[in-house]
Amino acid sequence: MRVHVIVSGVGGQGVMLISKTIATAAQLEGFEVSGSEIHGHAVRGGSVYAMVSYGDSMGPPRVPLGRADALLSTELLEGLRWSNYLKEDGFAFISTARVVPVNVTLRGDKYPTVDQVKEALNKRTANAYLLDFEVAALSLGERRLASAVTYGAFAMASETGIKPANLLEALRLNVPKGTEERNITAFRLGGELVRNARSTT
Amino acid sequence: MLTKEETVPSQRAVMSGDEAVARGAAEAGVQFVASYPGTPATEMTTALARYGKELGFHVEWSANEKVAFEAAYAASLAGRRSLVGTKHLGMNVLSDSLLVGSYGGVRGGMVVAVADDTHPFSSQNAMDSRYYALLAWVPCFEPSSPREAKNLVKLAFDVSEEFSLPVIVRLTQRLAHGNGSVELGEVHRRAPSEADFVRDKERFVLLSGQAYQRKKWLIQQTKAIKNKFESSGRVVWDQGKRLAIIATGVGVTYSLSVVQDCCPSEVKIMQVWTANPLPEKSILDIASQVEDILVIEDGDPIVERGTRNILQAKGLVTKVHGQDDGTVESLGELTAEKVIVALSKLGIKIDVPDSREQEHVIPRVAALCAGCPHRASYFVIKDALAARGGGVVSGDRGCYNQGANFPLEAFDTCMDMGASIGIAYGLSKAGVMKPIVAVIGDSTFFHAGMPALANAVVNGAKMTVAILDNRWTSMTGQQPGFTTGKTLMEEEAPRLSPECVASSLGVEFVKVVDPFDVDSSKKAMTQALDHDGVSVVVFRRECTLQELRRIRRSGERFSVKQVDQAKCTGCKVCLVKTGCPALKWDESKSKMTIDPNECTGCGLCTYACEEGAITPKERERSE
Repeated sequence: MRVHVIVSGVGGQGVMLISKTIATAAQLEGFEVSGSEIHGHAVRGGSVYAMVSYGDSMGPPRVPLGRADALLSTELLEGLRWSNYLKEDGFAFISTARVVPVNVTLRGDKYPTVDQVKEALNKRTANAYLLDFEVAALSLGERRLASAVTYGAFAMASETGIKPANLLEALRLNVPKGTEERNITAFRLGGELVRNARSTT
Repeated sequence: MLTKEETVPSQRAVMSGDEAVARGAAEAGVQFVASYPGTPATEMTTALARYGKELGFHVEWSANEKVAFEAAYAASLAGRRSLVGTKHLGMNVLSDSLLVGSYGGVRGGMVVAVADDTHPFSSQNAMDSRYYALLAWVPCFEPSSPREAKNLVKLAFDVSEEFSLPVIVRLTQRLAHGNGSVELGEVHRRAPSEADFVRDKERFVLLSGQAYQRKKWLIQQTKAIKNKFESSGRVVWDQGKRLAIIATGVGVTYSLSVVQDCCPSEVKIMQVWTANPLPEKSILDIASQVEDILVIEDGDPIVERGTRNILQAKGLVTKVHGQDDGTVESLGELTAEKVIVALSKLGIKIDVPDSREQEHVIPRVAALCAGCPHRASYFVIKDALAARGGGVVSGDRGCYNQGANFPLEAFDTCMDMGASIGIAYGLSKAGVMKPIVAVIGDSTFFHAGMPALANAVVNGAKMTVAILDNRWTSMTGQQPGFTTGKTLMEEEAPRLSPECVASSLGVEFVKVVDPFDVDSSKKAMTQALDHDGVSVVVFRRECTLQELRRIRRSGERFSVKQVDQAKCTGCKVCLVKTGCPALKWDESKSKMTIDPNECTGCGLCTYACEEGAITPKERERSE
């Protein structure tokens, strides 16, 4: 058994926090964890992504094309960027929040529409959820909680192979001290959003 | 502070390759660590600093990798176990010491842990550091996972002491910044102790006659090391009779995952973890069992060529495939997809995935952070040069590299650390009459800028050096530098002053400005361009991220900017001239707006707006 997850977004949105939390949860479950992150020169505002794989034996650091079981993105364009890594009927939890790069405003590049992203995802999977995780976080009073909302969507709505208690404990271990309860509320909200989206379609 | 899980042995933790290197060194009883920050190797040393504080050993950011190597080498001569952590490019800087240091050899175990950016993702080249093991005649180990990284670092210290040679442990970025499960062993607190240097002229005074003798010793050591590791190859998958993969580093897990998924019964896989020396017996053994060998490694075809050499020397006809014969793509980091394509070229029936990019995907141009003082410095430099009809700007390595991107496009060259000043000098000396400006950060200036500045003063040039002093080594994630006022171990330190260095090197025109004071900065920059000779302008303003961090802690509030929608003409000049990510275009109204959550209130855009449409915002923001 092996689960491959890709987390993408824009620097400063908590992509590394999500991937670290998934890795911790898998570790608590007793799996062998592997993965990698690409960061370095873009502190804020650049494309960032992380990959996590877990299973009974040590996996590769990079998820192969077309093999990801789940794709989580805190930003719309970055979700589209990695969608060809998703396997057939893999789970996609993509925030419709947009961080528009300067090349759109000044150079005429066209930022993709939600419909275009939906269409691309629908070609690969029936399990794509495009939801505004940022607005959900703002409803809790803090934009920064969007990462916990996104993680919650993945944790509570896909086939992770990890027990809910471990998923929750991993979150507790990785968020800054004193923010545990707020993050857990956001985590639950993420799962709820996906469940609601499921029941209305 | 170490986390609870880090102090309790026999527990498992998820660690990056860099953190695992640090853990291995701490478990091996390392006593001295010296490094210079560089992606993707920085976190080895930041993790070791936490161990050092807790367990009582020295960890530092040195001026550059060469100084770091010399310090760690000396610590080894004094009997301490020592480590240098560096990115691949730092190997070039320390190579002068490494390639001589191996002739003298070491006493306490010495490890050079290097992380190569083989793609590259955040480096100016994709060179392979393993060549340095061959150049220096020292062993090189290549782990395939964080778990192995920890174990091989520990072994490297033992091997270093057994053969009196520094040992290179080489990671690539997917491992350095990769995560994996690691079992934790014991770490020990060390009581402070006195060290001693025992004279040994034959080894450590390397005049040419001595170097000849030491080369003799190095050749003997190499033979002994080869014997020790001749059977160290490890068969990790043993199926099929025609084809074997020889894999190193992350190539091992990629090969295993592809073969297990797609062609489990057709391929053998042997892991080689000693890139130097190669395990001759293991390689001959597997070669005798198959017709074809495919070498999978993240970097240049070093193991591939070594394998070919070994087989050729024994007259074996087994074919060796890899990058040299075009079976494996040389461009970019190693991936599972590259392994799949290579296997398919060698006749294995395997689905090659469609790697075409999705429709509607556009690039995301990286920018300087909102409120970054470098943006203001570029604004000033560009304006001052524009008033002279343009000029040439040579850039350097650091956060300010983002200024090379659209729309600022603020400099014309960017090479290695410190090159900005050497390039500016050479252009001037070659007879370029346009104004010439070198742009260099404070850490880079102390790393490699000073000799080039001295050279320009003595040999004579007309050029301006803009030192962007933001008080931190920011590019790699806010490490303290020589202008910060504290060390990596959080001890107080002198704040070095680039302007004093410039003056004492004989630069006659030296000015220090605050880049957010745009008018004064422009005046100083203009005078500097007019100066007949070498001039230096220090743009001093602390990194915004540090300022925001401080504000977050104190809870203090600050005002931000807003765009007066009635006055905004929608010309976008503010964005063209600053490229600030807090400026957001409102498509529906064709007007610019400012995101109050991103704006830091630096006010640079008020200088850019010709309509006077940008004003302070009443509602204040707390970070």
